Amino acid sequence: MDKTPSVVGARVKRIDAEDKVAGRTLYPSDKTLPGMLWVEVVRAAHPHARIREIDVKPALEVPGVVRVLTHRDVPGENAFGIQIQDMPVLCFDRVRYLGDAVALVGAETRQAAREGARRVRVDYEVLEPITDPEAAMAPGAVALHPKGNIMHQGHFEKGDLAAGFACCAVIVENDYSVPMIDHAFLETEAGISYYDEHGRLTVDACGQYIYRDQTQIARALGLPLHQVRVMAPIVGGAFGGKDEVTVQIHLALMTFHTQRPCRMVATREESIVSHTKRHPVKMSYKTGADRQGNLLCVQARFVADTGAYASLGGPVLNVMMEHAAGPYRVPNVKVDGYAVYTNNGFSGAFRGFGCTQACVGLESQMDLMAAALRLDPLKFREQNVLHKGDLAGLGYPMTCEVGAGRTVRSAQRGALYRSRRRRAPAKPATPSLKPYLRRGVGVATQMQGLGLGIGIPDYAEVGLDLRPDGTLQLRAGTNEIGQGAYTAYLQILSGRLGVPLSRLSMVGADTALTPDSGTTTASRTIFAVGKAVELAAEKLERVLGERAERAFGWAPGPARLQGDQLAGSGGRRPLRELLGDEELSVQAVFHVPVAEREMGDGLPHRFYSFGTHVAEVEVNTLTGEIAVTAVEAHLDGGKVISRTGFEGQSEGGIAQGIGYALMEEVRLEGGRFLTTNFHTYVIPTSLDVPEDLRTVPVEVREPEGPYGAKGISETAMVGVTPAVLNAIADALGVRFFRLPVRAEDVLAALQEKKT
Amino acid sequence: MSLTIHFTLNGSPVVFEVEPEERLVHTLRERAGLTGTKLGCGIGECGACSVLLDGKLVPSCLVLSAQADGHEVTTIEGLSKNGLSDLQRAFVEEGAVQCGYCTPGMVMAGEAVLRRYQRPTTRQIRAGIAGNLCRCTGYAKIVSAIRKTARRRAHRRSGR
Amino acid sequence: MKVTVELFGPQRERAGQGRLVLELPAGATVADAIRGAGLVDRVDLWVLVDGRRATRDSALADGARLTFFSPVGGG
Repeated sequence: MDKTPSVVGARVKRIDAEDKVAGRTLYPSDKTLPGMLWVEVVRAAHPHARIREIDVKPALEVPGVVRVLTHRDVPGENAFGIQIQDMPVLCFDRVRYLGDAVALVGAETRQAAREGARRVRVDYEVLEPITDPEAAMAPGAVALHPKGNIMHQGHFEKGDLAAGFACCAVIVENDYSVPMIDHAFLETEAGISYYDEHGRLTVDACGQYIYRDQTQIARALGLPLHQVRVMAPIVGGAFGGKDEVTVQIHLALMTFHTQRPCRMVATREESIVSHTKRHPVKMSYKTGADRQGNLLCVQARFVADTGAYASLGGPVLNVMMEHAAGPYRVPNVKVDGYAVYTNNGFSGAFRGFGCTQACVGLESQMDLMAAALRLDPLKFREQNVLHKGDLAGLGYPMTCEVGAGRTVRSAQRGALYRSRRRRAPAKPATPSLKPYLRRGVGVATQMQGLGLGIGIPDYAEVGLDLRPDGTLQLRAGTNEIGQGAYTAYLQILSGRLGVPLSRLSMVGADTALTPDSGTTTASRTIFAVGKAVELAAEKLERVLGERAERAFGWAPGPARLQGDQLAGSGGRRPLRELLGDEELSVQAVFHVPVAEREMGDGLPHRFYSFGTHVAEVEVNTLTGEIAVTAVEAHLDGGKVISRTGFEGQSEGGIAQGIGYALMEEVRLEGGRFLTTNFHTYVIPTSLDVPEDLRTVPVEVREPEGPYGAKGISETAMVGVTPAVLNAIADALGVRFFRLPVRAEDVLAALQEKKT
Repeated sequence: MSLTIHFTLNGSPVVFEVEPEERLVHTLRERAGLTGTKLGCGIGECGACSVLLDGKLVPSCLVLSAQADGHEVTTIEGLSKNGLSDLQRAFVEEGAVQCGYCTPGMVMAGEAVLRRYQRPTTRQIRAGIAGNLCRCTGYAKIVSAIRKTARRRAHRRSGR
Repeated sequence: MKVTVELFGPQRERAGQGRLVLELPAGATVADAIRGAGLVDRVDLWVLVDGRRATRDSALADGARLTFFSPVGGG
C-alpha cells in the first residue's frame, strides 16, 4: 500500500489558480441573475435598544422597492446560530448590537434598496449598552438573554495547585489583554438566491459549511431540507468569519417572498459591523516551575467578551481552556473560563479558535519563567513539552503522534535562533539610526486541536465518479476558501490511484451534487476529507476488481487504472469494456476518531498539530516603531501533501500573527464601531511582513491521516504573535501585556523604564 | 441625469451611460460585466479594484467613470486577452494565489511595477504593491512572482 | 428488528440519554426511529445511518447503527 508518488508533497499548480489570476473565477459577489432584486439590510441604529415599532411604509414608497420584510415575514423559527439559536433573523423586540438586522429591503436597483433601507422607520427605546464583560457578569446586571449574561463557563482542575506552587522556585503572575479583531477577508459577505430548475430555493453565497447553512436556512423558513439547496464552492477568504450564517437566510427569505432571484453584497463597513470577530479576552495567568525548570503549575482565568450572540463562542472558550497549558506536561492545572454576552459586536470562530488568545498569555509566561530560572527559552520548552502518552493540561492522555519536541529542536537548529545573542541589526535601513535600533529574537511553541473534538460526530463523506475514458471527478462538500484544499484532495487521489492530475477534476460545495464532507474549519479538511478521498480511491479499486472478476473472470483483488485501461490479475482491458458508457460512482466516509473519554463540552480533541515559531524584530527606540524582520516557522502538520499550500498557509499565518501583535484592533465605544474600514482597521501590507520567511516542515506522520498528514492552517498563525511579543521583550527588556503593541506603546514603556 | 462616456477598454472602444457620481469599478463590474476587477473596501485602501488608467495604476473605486471619458482603461481581463500574461503565469507557478480575491488587483499592481522599473529591487516591488491588501499569502510568493517576471522580461530584452 | 441509536448534544439532552436500543417493525425508516426514540422531529435533527447522512425515508436494516445529532459544532 505504501506508494510514494511524486505528486504528494510536491509543488503543484493549484487547480483554481489560472482562472483566478485571469479574473475569470466567479465569486459570490460577482454573480448576477436576470430579473434579480438587490437586497439591503436595515441594521440596528443602537447597540442596545428595545424596538417599539417598525414602519416600512415610507420604504415601500421609494420607486423600485418591491418588498420590505420584517420579523413578521419569517415563516419558520426567527432564530439562528450554530450552537445556540439566540440570534434573530430579523429582530422583533430588541436589538443587541449594531449589526442586528431589523428589516430587509428588496428593490430593482441597489440604489433603490439603499434608499428604501434608509426610509424604514424604527422606533427605539434606547437602552444603556453593556460593554464591560466583568460588569455584565456581576449579579444584578441587565440580562441580554433569558439565561443571563454568562453565555458559557468552564472549570477544570487537575492535581493540587496549592501544593504545586509550594514546590515552585519561580512563580510568575500576570494579566493579559487581547483585542477584538476582524478577519478582514478581502471579499465581503455576498451571494445570490433563486429557485433552481427543480424548484429548490437555492442560495449560492459565501460560507464554510453548506450542509449546516442549509439546515439554518430551512429552520428559519420552515422548509424541509430537500427544498433548500446551498452552494459555496469558491469564497474570497473566510478564516472563520463566514462560519456563521451571514447573508444566506436573508437572501433565501427575500426570494421566498418575492419568487425572484436576489443578490446581496455587503459593504466593508457593513461587513465589519455585522460578522463575528475574534473574542477580546482578559486573561490572568499564574504559572510556576521548580529550580530544575520543571513546569509545575498553570493557573488561568479567561473572560471572553462574546458580544451580543453565542455563535461559536462556547466552543471557542472551550478550545481556549483546552489549550490553556499549551503543549506542556503540567501536573497541576486550574482553568476557569467565561464567555460573556455584551453589546460589543459579536464574536465567534477565527483562525486558532481560542487557542490564539491563550497562546499569547502562556507563551509570554514561558519566557518570563525561563528568564527567572536563567534557562534558555527553547531548552525550557523542550524540557517540558508533551510526548505521546503524556497527560495534557486538562488531564487526558495524548494518543496522537506528538511533534512538539521535534518542532522545538528544529527551531534550535535554525539560523535565526542561533543568532539570537546578536544585538545589533544586520542591515539597518537607515544606518544613522543604528544607535537607536535594538534587535530581538523571540520564540513560541504551541499546539492546536484538529477537527471538532468529541461533542458531535466529525465525519467527511466524498463521492468519486469514474468515467469510461478513465478520467475521474471528485465531489466534496467543503469550500475552497483560499486554503488550496481542492488541489490537495486531487494530489491525494492522484497519489493513491496513480492517475495524473490532468485526468482529475473536482466539484465542490453544492448540496445537490456533493456529499456532506463536514465543515471547512478547524484545520480539518486535509486530514478528514483527505482521508475520505484515500478511502474512496481504495474503494474504487476494490469495486473495479470485483466487477472485473465478474465480467472478465479475473482473480479476486483490486484493479488499477492505467489511462483508459484497467489493469489487474488478468492483464489489461479497456475500461469501456467494463463500464460501457456508464460512470462508476463510489462514496466513502471517514469518521475522525475521538478521544476515549469526553470531559464535557466536546473536549478534548484527539489530534493536534504543533509548531514552534522564531521571530526577529528590530525596534527603533527613537520612534517606537517595531519591524518584524524575519520569521521561521517549524511546523508539524504531519506529512506535507502540498508544499506550496503548506508554505502559503504558513506565510499567510505569519502576516496575520504580526497584525494581531502589532496593529489590529476593532475599537468600540459604547458598542459603536470606530474602525469600520481599512483606513482605520489596519492590517499588514507588503511592507509590514518580512522578506525573510522560512517555513520548515517537521513531518511527524500521523497514521490516521491521509499519507500521515494533519492540518496546519491554524498552527501556522497562532504561535507567531507571542513569538513577536517575546522578541520585543528580548530587544527592549520591556514586556507588553496588551495587544496590539504600537509605536506609542513602545515609547511610553521606554519612558516609564527610564523614570 | 446620466452621462455618456466613451473610452478604450482593454483595447476596444466602449460607450456607457453612467450616473455622474458613478465610480469606474461599478461601470466595469455592473455595466461591462468585467467582474475580474474586485471591490474590497470602496475607499481606495485595499487595491482589489486596481486597474490601469492610461497605463497608471489607480483604484477604480476612487475614479469617477466620467474621468475615464476619452482615456484608456486596462483591466485584468485585458492582460489575458491572448492567454495568460507572463506575470499571471508567474503568479500561478509561484503559488501566489490563494483565495484569489486580491489577485487581479495585485497582478495589475505588479504590472505597474514592471512597467515603471526594468529591474525592480525587492523594496520597489514591495512598495509598489503596498496599496494592495492580501489576507491569505503573507505577500512572499506574490513578490517572488513579480521578481521572477522582471528577470524573465530583462532576459527577453537582452536577448533581442 | 433492533437498531441502536447514539445521541449527541441537544438530541442527547432531549432524549435524556446517550444511547438507545430501539425495537422497530420490519421496513421501518429513519422517521420511525425518531418517533421510536420519543423525539420531536426537527429540521436540525441530523441522522447518520451506519455513519452516512440519511434522509427521513431511508429504510433501516436490522442491526443498523443510527446517530442523532445537530450540527452545533464548528471551529
